[in-house]
Amino acid sequence: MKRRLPLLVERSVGQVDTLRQDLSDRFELAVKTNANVSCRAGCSHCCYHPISISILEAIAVYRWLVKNHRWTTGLKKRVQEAADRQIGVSYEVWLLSLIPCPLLNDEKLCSAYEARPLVCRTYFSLGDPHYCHPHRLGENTKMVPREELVKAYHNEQTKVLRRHRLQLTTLPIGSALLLAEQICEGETELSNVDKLIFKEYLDHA
Amino acid sequence: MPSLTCAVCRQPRDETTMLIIEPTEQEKATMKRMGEDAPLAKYAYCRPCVRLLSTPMTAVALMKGVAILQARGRGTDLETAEKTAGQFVNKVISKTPSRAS
Repeated sequence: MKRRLPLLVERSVGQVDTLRQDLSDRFELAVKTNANVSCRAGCSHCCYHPISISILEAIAVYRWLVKNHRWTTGLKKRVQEAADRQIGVSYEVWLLSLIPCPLLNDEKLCSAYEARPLVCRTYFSLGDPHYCHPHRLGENTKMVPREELVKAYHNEQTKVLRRHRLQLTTLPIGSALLLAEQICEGETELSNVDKLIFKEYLDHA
Repeated sequence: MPSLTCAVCRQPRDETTMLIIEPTEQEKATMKRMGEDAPLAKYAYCRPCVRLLSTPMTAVALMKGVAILQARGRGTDLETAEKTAGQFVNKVISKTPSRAS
């Protein structure tokens, strides 16, 4: 059974989740009607790009994984490995090292597709997906990041997180999911996230 | 706190947390033969990059990615850069002692 978090935290998670759903519904409608979008199931090049999400979004993703029995020992191990590799790594090195998103399964599909972060929903390609591979990024890459949409979402999350006295808006997805588990299982509180991620950074970087 | 720049990510880091490699004269000579004009007296690597280089999967990808980036920076087309980088990485792997041996 889903453990209830403090009311203010539940409200913030709900607020961000509603916003994510709203933005992604409108966005997906626009993408689905664009015949030039070349993204297809099984192409996972963008799953090797750096992905950072807020702790509030991570809680929503984690809860979806638990509810759908996908938060398995195997997945948790992948998340842990990803967190170890991602912490303190620069954007460029993350790209070049081809660190996969831990939610990417062996069939090259997202384990949390229905609940995937907004940033994953907003990237799409209008060209040959071959050039979305991190080693091939360049003038032939026709990925559209929808920066304005992501920025608006980021700003809104920042405001919500400030209410909890948190300064960091996004964290690498591996660390974010592990912290989300700790919060949802009552092992730590949302207000400790900055302190915990800073400690992790000091220990690892 | 004294800081050094990581040879891989070029980020300044606390020197005490870094892995410092001082190549021998023989190694410097090999580096020159491989195209490094002026090998440094020491190379510093930060912990995040060392972790990636210690994991076979990410180490191979990182080496290949850097080689592609460098080749493209010199004006090589992508296809040739990928091919050359693949050959370079295979050569490095073939000369790397296996952990089992």
